Amino acid sequence: MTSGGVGGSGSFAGSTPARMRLLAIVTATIAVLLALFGWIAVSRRDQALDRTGDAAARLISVQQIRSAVIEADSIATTSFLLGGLEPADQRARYESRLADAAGGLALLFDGQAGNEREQLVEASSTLNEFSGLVEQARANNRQGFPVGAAYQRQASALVRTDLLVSLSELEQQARAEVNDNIASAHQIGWLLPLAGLITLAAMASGGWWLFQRTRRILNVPLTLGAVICVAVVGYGLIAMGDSVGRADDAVTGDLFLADRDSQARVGAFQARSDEALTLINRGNGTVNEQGFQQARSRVDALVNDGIRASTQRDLGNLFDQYVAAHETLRALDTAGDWDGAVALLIGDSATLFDNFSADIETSVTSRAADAQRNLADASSGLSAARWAILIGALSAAALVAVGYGQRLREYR
Amino acid sequence: MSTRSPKRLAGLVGAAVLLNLVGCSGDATLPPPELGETATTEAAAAPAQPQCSVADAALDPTRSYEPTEPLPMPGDMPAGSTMRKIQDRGRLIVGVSGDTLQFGARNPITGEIEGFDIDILKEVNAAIFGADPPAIEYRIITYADRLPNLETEQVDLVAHTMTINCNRWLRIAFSSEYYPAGQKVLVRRGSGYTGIDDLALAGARVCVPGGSTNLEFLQTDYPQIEAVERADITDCLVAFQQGQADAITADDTVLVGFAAQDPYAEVVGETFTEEPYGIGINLGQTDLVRFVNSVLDEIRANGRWDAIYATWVGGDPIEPPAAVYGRLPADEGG
Repeated sequence: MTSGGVGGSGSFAGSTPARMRLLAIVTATIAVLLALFGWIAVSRRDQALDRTGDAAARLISVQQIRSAVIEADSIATTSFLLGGLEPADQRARYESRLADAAGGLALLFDGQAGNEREQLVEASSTLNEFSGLVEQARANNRQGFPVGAAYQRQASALVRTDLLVSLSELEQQARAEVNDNIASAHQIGWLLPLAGLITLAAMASGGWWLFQRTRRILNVPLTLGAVICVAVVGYGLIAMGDSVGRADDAVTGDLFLADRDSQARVGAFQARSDEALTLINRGNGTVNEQGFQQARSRVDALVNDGIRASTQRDLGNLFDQYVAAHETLRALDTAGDWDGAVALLIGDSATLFDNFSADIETSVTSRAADAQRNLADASSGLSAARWAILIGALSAAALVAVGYGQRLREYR
Repeated sequence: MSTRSPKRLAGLVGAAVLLNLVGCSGDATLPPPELGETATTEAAAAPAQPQCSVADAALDPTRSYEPTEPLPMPGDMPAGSTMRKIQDRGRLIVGVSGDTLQFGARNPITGEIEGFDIDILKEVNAAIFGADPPAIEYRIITYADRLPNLETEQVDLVAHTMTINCNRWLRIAFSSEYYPAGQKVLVRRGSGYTGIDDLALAGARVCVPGGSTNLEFLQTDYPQIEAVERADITDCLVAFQQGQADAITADDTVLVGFAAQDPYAEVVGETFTEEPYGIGINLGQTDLVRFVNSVLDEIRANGRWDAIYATWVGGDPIEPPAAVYGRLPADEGG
């Protein structure tokens, strides 16, 4: 914008009223653009946060499926040691976990496309295959056929080398999606302040030009328009900053902890399966004991981490108690008392494990719910901000027109 | 434009801009899982199997060391002997099969491991400890683990439907033969296959456990057959039932147990190899080999072997396989 119309006498565009009209149009247009870009900026952040919420929900679902699968495997493995004397409640729990996994996969399947869809189809069919093998193991076991052990081994191997691997890939994808979306929610932060600054600059320089031309200090509508712009842009920025801040908190707080607890839960069930396998592979379970120790150290790092609130210290204690029972069990088995070790596995050790597992399940469930609720709440203020910016900036455009109109009329 | 735009609002906007811009750099992220997902501890690759010389291979592999005469009194093993170490430890540790019906299998109803191999081991246990001996510690091992477990002395004895042969004598020692097994094939009932030659002609898929003599046999004598390898022989029954193999070749002892578990399977043809079973012992523990040989001689003579045979195999009684001796600790492999 040139500061004066000195050179342009004669032509229409060069005359002061003509320039005034042009300025009015340009400034009002910029204000309208502010309305548009403001709307877009807030909407995009809103959408990015929504996608973050969806990805978090998917992450939580995949983790629930993984936990369900590994618990089902752990129950099937442990029950196998009991042969036909498998307790009814264990059987019921196995079936409900299997149903959870199948149901979870079906829900995840909704709305997925491409590669992920294929992975889910494959995971579903592997889950079916797993449950089929477990049933064959049971049926053979009930008839006293040793081939049941081979079916059980195959079922466990299928879960470990196939199903859990593809589920942990899906989990990693969901985790990456959470990270990508929260990052993109951050990235749109510059659009609104930039649009706001340009609008204010246009209004201010126009006002300055008018002041020089007309020597009138205050143009009320123009000033009011500027104030409204500053107000709505400020409000929008605060709302956007607040939303992304809350989403950050939800991701680094509850979701992070839910993620860790869920990993600890999966690790614990892995350890439990390995523990049973050391006894199934009677005296030859070195590999399984290594597996147990690996899973144990992972769970240990996750539950005794210092991050946990003091109210949840119990979790670490409960796990330590279970690990202590495992040491006793191994000592019994190593000393040749296999029967004693089995009795411990299905007795005290099972109780201790169930205590831990129930506690961590509660923890995962409540944290996951908190994370999802907080993520959903994070963007709750954005809708109002979006409308405020739209209405405010459009009013500012109207006020610009009114303000310049007053001065134009003075030229007639 | 007026310079009177409210300062408070400007301050707020400034703060908000800052908040947004600061947000740009410090992304909140979920870290990847802390440690490896699943434990994938693969068993170390088996060392190359040493091969017998042609001259050694021509000799009778079932020759074992002369039996101890007379047997020491149960519960009073000679000082310094391997048996004494076992006695002092308080229990015999053995490697067995957990799923070979009638030879070494865990009875799911009682939880006990039982079978022909197990009863032979119980005789050895009684000879070491006397009447009412302590319980044997069973370690269920796979086919491939049989030799390594003896070599590393994790078990005292292995009775696991194991064939005595020259190559194995290079790594471990054997007792005299305690059961005369032979290789046969198991096929689907009504499949039309009548033996190994049919399967070879058809280029069929035949399941064998890795590390077994059956696998070596297939590879050398029937290369036309597509060998389907599994970790353990029972995994072969699973492969067979799942249609991944047309047949299983294994010792008749094992296959009879399979047919008992699957009414749609049948054992066909004559035995086409001889698989003399022996108890595996660490190569250095010659005294234990002699001791076990004496125990085997005793049960061959006193009718106990026949009783065990009747319990687990049944049918027409057979003569226990004759012991062959004459091996000296120097001629390993011979």
